Amino acid sequence: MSGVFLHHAALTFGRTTRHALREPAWAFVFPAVLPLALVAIITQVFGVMIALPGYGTDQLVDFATPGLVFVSAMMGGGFAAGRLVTDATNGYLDRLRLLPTSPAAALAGLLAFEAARAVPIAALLLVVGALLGAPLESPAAVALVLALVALWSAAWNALFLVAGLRTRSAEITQALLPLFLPFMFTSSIWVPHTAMPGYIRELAERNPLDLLTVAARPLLLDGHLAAGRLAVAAGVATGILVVLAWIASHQLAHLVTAD
Amino acid sequence: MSQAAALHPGAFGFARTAWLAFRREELRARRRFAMAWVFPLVPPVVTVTLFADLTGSVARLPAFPDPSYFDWLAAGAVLLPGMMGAGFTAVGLAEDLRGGFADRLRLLGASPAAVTLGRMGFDAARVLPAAALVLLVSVLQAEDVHPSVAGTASLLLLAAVWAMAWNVLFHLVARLSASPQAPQALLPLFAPVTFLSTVWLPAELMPRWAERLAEANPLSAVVEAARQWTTGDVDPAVVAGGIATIALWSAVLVVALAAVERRRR
Repeated sequence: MSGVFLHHAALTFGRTTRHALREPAWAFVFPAVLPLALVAIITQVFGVMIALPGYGTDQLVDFATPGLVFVSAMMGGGFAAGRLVTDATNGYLDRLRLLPTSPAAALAGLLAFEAARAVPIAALLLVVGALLGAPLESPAAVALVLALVALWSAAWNALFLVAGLRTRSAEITQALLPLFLPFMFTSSIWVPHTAMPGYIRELAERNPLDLLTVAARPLLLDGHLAAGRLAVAAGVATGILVVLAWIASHQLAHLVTAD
Repeated sequence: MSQAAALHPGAFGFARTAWLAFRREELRARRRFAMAWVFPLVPPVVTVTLFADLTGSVARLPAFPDPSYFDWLAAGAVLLPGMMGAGFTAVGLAEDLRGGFADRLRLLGASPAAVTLGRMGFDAARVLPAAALVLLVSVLQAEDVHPSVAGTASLLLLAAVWAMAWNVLFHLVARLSASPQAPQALLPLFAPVTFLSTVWLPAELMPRWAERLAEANPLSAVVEAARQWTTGDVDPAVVAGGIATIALWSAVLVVALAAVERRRR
């Protein structure tokens, strides 16, 4: 990877960060408030569910927090994609055509921004979870899970970039926002596999969010490194990221180089 | 809008201005379909299908009052579209304040009350398809939810009126801030307000602190009113309590909104 590529990616990262600071509602408030409500309120209100068989933890907040950090990366999805669509429609990408800038570098900067944006929000959720009693004792485990959150955020947001570049509609990127809901409700974040209805259990087995949750839960709660599960979860997230980033990169290159 | 006010003074001019404001929001919603139509529809439908199915085992707990979780959730679910998709016209208001359109309306004599009513009327109307769909899904999944025709109409009317009342808060924030970001940032407020109410669970099953908050939450009174029609066992006092709660909520916020509007003028 050349220094020029990294420099251009860093410039895109900085530009997107400045946009995010000017639009904090979509960039930071929306993705932070809902997950915080899930961790701080819903795990308490639905705490009675821990009496049902299959949980294996003392409180619902212990059980749910490891999965909710990944949901937080999904809840604010599409910010960078929305910016890219705006760039495609207001002439900014035309200006890029005149400059020796690689579309892949611009895309890498956008995805890096999305990866970085998710980390402080996820860290805040872990702090709130710990304050409510979730036993998060290993800093190394927390760091590893935050790295997974960043990877998952980039992968999830690559989907929004593909959709945004395909349609060039900021509305589409916003309309995809609630897509996190079916993923969350077909995973074991709230309910253990054994207590799920059959069809949801089958969906959970194919849900990347569930793979991440199942890998992160023992790591965060017991410091137990389930290496196999972790490798599968990281591999699936990386695979999704690579495939979608490759598609988005081609779409963007086509957009920038088209006559 | 202004021409309507100038050519048709009085009640007719007021109604005409409100209708034009409604139509303008409807046209804006075609361009911004995500916030206008997707947000009020998708999350509530996913909630009454996947979420209710996933957490349905909570109905097996000894203190749970209904035969299934769908039966409990039906009443509150009808009110969710108005909350999960709130703020659409408030964002439009903030954009108008910032872009100067609101000043033009003022100079041309359009009644601010009529414009606000038209906007909020659209907020009420756009949640109706979602509320109807959520109610239909609930009826199909629940064991004992069979609202009559009058009960269904009452539930949908309640959903629309509550959507208007909830959106007054967003209009107030938009007026105070004149920033489209502010009402958007307020959208997740539905989460703490609904989860600390009796939408999702009976208060008795919550921890003590949450139970107290749920009992004091105005939304709980509205949900209990809705529950009268989903169960078919209507207690007029509970319905009146829900309606009075909406009226009080709206009155307080409308007075505040009018005060902010007067200060601006």
